[in-house]
Amino acid sequence: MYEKAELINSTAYFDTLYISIRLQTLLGSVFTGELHLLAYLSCLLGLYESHPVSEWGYGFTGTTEGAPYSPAITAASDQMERSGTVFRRHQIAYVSDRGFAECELLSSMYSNTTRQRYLEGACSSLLTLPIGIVREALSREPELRSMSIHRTARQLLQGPGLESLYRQFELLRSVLDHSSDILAPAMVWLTYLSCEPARNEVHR
Amino acid sequence: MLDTKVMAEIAETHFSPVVIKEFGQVGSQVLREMLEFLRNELFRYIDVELYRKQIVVFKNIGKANPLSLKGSTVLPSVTHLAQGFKKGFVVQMLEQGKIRLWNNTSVDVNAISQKALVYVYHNRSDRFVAKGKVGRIPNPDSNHASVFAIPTFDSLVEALMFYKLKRANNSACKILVGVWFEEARLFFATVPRKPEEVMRDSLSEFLKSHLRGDVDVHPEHNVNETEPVDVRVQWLFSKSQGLIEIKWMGKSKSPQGKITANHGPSRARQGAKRLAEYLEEEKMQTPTNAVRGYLVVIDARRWGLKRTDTKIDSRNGLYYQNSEIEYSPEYHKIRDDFEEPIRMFVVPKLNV
Amino acid sequence: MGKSTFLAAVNFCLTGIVPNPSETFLGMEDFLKDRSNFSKDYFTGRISEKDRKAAEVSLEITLSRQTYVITRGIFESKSLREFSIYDTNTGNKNRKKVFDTSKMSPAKRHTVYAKKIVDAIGLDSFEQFAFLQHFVFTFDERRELVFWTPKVLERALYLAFGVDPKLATQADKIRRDWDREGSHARNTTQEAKNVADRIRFIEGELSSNSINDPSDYEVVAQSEKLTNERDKIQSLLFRLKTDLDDAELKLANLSATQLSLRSEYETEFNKHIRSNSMLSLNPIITNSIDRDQCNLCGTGGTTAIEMIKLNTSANTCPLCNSVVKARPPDGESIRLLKEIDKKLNKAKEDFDEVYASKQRITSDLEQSDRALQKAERAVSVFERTNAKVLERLRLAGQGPNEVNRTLERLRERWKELDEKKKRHYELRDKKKAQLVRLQRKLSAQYTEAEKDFVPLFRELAVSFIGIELDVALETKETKTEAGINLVLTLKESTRRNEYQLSESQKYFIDIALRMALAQHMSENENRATLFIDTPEGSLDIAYEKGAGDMFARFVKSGHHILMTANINSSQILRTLADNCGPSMMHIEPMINWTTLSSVQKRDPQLFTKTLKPIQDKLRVRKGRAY
Repeated sequence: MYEKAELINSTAYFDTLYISIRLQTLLGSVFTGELHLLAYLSCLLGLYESHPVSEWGYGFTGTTEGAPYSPAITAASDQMERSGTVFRRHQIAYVSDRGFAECELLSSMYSNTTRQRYLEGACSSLLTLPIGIVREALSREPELRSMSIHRTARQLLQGPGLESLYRQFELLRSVLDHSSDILAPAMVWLTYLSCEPARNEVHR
Repeated sequence: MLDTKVMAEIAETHFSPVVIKEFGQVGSQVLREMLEFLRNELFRYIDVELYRKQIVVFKNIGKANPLSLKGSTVLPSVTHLAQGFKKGFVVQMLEQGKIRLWNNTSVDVNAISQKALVYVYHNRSDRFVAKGKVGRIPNPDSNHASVFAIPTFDSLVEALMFYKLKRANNSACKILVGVWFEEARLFFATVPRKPEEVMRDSLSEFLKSHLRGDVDVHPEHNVNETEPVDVRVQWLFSKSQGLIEIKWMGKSKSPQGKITANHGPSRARQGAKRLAEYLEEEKMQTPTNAVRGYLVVIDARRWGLKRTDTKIDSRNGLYYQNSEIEYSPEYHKIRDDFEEPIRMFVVPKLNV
Repeated sequence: MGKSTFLAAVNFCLTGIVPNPSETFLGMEDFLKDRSNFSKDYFTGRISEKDRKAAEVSLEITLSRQTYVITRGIFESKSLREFSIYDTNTGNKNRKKVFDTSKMSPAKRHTVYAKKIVDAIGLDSFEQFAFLQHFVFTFDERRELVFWTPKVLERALYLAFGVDPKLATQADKIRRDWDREGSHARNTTQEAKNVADRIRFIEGELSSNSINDPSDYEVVAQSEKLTNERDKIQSLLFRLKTDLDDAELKLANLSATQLSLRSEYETEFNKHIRSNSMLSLNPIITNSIDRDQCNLCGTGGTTAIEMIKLNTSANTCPLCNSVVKARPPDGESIRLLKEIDKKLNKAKEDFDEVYASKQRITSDLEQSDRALQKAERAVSVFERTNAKVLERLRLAGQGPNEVNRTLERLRERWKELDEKKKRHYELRDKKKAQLVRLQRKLSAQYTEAEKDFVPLFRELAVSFIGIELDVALETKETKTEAGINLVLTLKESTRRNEYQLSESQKYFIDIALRMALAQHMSENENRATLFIDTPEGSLDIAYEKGAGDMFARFVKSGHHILMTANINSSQILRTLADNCGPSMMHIEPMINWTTLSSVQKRDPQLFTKTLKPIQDKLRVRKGRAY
């Protein structure tokens, strides 16, 4: 048997598929790096609504450049490619019909109901913010900012940056009316982050 | 440091909490539909830069129509709008992708917003209005007329070409605009920052917001001429890198009015040579990394420009507009890691 | 290894213990008990962790013309690594082993050693040996004073003058029992007093007829109200705790269920996503992709691999061009997935419900706990404020018969205690009588020995202090006390308490006493060794030469001193060197084999410079020995 024996994380698989479809709809194609970015943003939105990080189903590492990365997303993405759920050329992927059907099936699962809210919230941010702006803004959230300052890779959402994140979310909750919509907090938070000084400016 | 004031201000004025506050869950759903429509349909088909008058788009919250149907036309889709409605228009989103159009109509946006969620574009500003309350749509890049008209690019070359045509050409960038000594864009200024620093920052900011993928754009702060890279673009998961070297041609002036530099094509050629040498070094040191070099030349040459000139006519100002640089050797032809140099001519403001 | 640690290690090797300076001396048997823990603590920190097992201390001692070789592990109080006896003096290369314990267990070896040394010295028990070694023959950093510690002095005197060491053992035991009975008697007396107070109170209340005071009934009502409230909260608390336990158990079960279902889901999910691929599962394809090289032709690179992916995800076989029908999603697999998903959802809902319930119970519990504390405080304050009234009411509540029964019980108890107290005192007095008999015996024996002992002591002490002094035995026999003591007289003034002498005087007179005792107790063949730690630290400069003379006198009488000292301007060493010379004195600089501190390392020349004049005195000169 040549196939790798590792189990694909089902939540990472669903997230990858869902985000791929949304990216394709909104931007026309799927870039691998953007999958990790939006999955991480989704996880943070879950955290905002007090879902513990452990509930997300898989973890993220911060790279030395200050970007989020999840091995589970990569494994899921590779499996999708192997099974024809997505087609890839260089770093750009496209979801196949099989992929759309699969997503519809998986979206109907109870296990995926709650997380869809956060995935949709994250992807909807692209409706008014270019992906580059979302990427820049997210790089200023406390955990990723800390990564780019220290220039060492480590697990995200386990370090001291988490406390700063909680405080930001607490403030966010206090300035927004309590509604069940996730779009508002996502948009307001990203807009707030994009006002923070960039990490390049920090280095200066 | 948490800035409570900023966060509160954003929450107060941002469209999403305003809409949800006024229209609740229904409003949230309608908002999403409208955003999709604006981004994926309307602004894909119209060039909003051309519009001077107001564009209004709305969708009903309930069943009642907030605007009289008199004078309106139902169109099957937004593509039918592509033909020059330069005077402004009002569009109502209907089911199944159809739209109702009123053209050349001034409407009472507040009144419509009592029963519908209204989007308004006017004078390079986007906003939503819900029950009379205005929700701002922040535009992270005011070089574009609307937040829905900000393009993204899959490739670095595509992005650089856009920059050439839409930013460099008319110096239509709030960073780049500071590179000039005067409004007419004749001379580069050297104070408070050197021209190459301004160009580097302008290009970096542009690439950060407009490039897709797992990209990290990093302006380099070179302390000497031996490291020619001005902007480093790194694709994190594929280990590819784009090294951009920026050179400018033209004249620069000190605050005292003295010509401090006068660069021509030789400077561009020098840049090409240095970039090629650097790529060669990089290749030897990290042969597994896919590195590609890009030479960007900002061309602000003017014919017969004298130190004391403050304006220029079209003949002299556009003299070099189509004057491409000859490179010898042509590195982009002999090296597979050297992109064809991109010359970005900057049009002066004529007879200002 | 500092000076004190060095001496402590030597004594540890001999006795297996390091005395705990914070413990009071109660008796010889008690002294030897439970010291092993302190001994271990003492050396922990002084020995590095990696050397712990290997660390040991070895001694060769001369006893009755034999050499005892002892090796003890630093952390092994009750065992020896080596114990052998040789038939010649230490240092003789031809010595012959006459007693070997190599085949014994370490613990047995220690037991045998203890017996041997005790027999050789002529004591009754190892406890006596340990006592003498640590309290009489060692003057260490504890600065325990024999002269002014009655319990130590008494044992020392029995051992020194008792002739038969069994007498000392007896005396030690009797004194210990005497102390114990005295302590029990005092405790019993106190308890009896408490009972008597209670009896008096009740009798007083009964006689004052104040039991049925009507105004007290309000107090009853209030008391009942407060206690009822408290009891109610307590019941609630108990119920909530039970509920919480139940909830936690449920959560644990549900959590386990979720985990199991999750695992099942993941397995089924992985089957499902892999079941949809056909060509792509082929080992040739997957291996090519994983290795970035076509398995058929060996071509590597991005383009080749992308083509493989493209061709194998389409419907045509890249080898034979046949149409490959894509398998529809496995219906059974989907059904299973949905089923597990549904169960997972149910388990999650149940879990969330129980969790919410647990949160609520926890919050209620905290609230009730606070309420209970408040209620208990209220009850406690109320009872304190109204103690007499409540007692009165309790008695009234009991009824006269009940009150009388209580009184009767208390009186019986008091009688019991009183008898017990008397028994303890009787026993104590018996012990006292026994002790007094022994004391008298000792007194008589001391009187016999006095003519030899007192001059010994005087000579030593006067050489130090330069003043005429005297020492006399004093016995105490009163109704409640018995004891034996030495009384010091200095310039015709009795100094019964240590504070009546300066520090230098009391320490060195104490050393003189030990030396005298050692001289008195030793046989000619077996001279004693005194262990002294840094004596110059306790010494006034005026007495330095005197101290040196005293030590020299002791050594010249054939005894030995093992002393640790600082190399400084003190006269002790110089006087010793002058008096003893190289044949009777040896200096071993510790700087050669111990770790110096950074301060000490700063100027090593200082050691050499200060030591040299003393070493010069100890150098053997041609034709002349000191």
